[in-house]
Amino acid sequence: MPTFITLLLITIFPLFYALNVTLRDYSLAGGKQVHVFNNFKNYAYLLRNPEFYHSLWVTLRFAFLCVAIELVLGSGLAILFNSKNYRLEPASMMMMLPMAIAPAAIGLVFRWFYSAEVGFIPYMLNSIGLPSPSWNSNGTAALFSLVIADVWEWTPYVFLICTAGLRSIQEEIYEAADIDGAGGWRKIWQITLPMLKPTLIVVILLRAIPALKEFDKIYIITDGGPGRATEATSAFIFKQFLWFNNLGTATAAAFILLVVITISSQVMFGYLRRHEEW
Amino acid sequence: MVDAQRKAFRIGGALVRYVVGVAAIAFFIFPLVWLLKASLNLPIDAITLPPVWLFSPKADNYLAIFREAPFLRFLRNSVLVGSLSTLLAIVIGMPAAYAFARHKFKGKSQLAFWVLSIFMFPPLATILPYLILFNRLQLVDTIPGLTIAHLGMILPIAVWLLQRFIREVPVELEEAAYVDGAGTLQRILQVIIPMTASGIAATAVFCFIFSWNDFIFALVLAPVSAKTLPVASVSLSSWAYINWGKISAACVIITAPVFALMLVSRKYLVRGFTFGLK
Repeated sequence: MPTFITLLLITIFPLFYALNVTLRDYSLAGGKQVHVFNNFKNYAYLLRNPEFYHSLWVTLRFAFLCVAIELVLGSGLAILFNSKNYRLEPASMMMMLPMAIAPAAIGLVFRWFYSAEVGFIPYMLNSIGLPSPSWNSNGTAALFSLVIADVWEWTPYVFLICTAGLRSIQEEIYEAADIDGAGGWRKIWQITLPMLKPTLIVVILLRAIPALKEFDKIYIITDGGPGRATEATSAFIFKQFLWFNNLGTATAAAFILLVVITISSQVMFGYLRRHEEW
Repeated sequence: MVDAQRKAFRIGGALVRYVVGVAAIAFFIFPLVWLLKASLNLPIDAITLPPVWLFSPKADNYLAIFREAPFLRFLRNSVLVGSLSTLLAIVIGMPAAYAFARHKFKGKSQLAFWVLSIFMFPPLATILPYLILFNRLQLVDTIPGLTIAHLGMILPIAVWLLQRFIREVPVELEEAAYVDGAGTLQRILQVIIPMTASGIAATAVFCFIFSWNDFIFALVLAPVSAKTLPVASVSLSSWAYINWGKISAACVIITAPVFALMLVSRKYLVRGFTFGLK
């Protein structure tokens, strides 16, 4: 198994190296290259830093909003178009584009769309007579600007997975319900959604993890602003690295974020295992 | 009466579906159409609101980015890093995937956890240790450096997808080869690889797209001379006067190859994006 060893070396080694880094004073500034063990100072600094807690809170809110909206829209669309009469291939081909495009390009387009002077969204809102929130200076609007971009990027993905899940529900169950005289809504609530539950849990898992570590779009669209209103933990880590050149603290923060992600996904995993689907 | 009501319902339902479907597709396609349109405009027309949709396409933006910034080099960097890391991921990943798919050994059940834990890792937690390491090895801002970092990101995905494809090859075929006296390596080369050729190609497409689209690894590890396309296009937006026409052209250049690759491998897309969980 020599390939195995290389494999583990490439992926596991950086992990331990990273753990080592979190326990020391690290910077890339030339000259002082003494990296001493510093008694968990990095972690202590973070756990006493209100800005760090704020960033975790932003991360959780962002992830929750994204996953919730994407789940409702994606599964709703999937249920609406769940019929053998629809040939979805051409449409789903197009719908797959958003998730395959570089997040950098998506970030740039949306940054442009929100721009007060040349943005399409303020222009649209104004031309139908609605006031446009100032996307760049209002904290809530800024957070939603990120959520909208993420929803745009990933709702088609949720739609596709849900469609695949719906296709695996057996026709007979619906036929039985028809005989019992169940209406359209009742069929959705009592058959479709319960049968779709394992799929929905997988979707939540696959969407929540990337949303919790989102960086690209935040960096490009708002860069954590205004102030620190949208500074999610990834952006906080990046600033620790870029502004303060404090690699130990930054990596330690990344590890705490990893713990948060692990805990939240373990909860969902546990649920999946109990439902023995996976 | 009841029949008429039912019929009205059905027609109404079809209408709702039609409207929602068209609106959804329009919503998800619009930013892309916008980018394409703006990239073919003259810079001043690109930001005109309301947008002018009938215009004679100009290649000025494309010519400009290739003339004013070394975009050809960024393009070359992206292609090099993407294809090198993909090639390595397949070559290293194939034997490992084979072992996972065919042999029984301790810790096999850890594979899913291993793949997912890489997926859960906040990117900066691995990037910063890479940065420190590369700093020592003089690999910062080089093509090999970024290739290694991308390899660490895509290798778990490659192994995971490949082992799913290998599992679909009937064991009997291999047993026949074994009876004929073929060793493990021969079996991989002569049975597994021909049988999973399309799966390998699909895996390669995914690995390439991941590397091609990556922003944060390249941002930190390849800031200047090994800069890739996504980072280069974002840095176009950091000037005081943002030329959105040029940015659109850059985004189209990033998107077009991904679109082409997706068309080629559309059969495997959903599977790849869900890491074969579905």
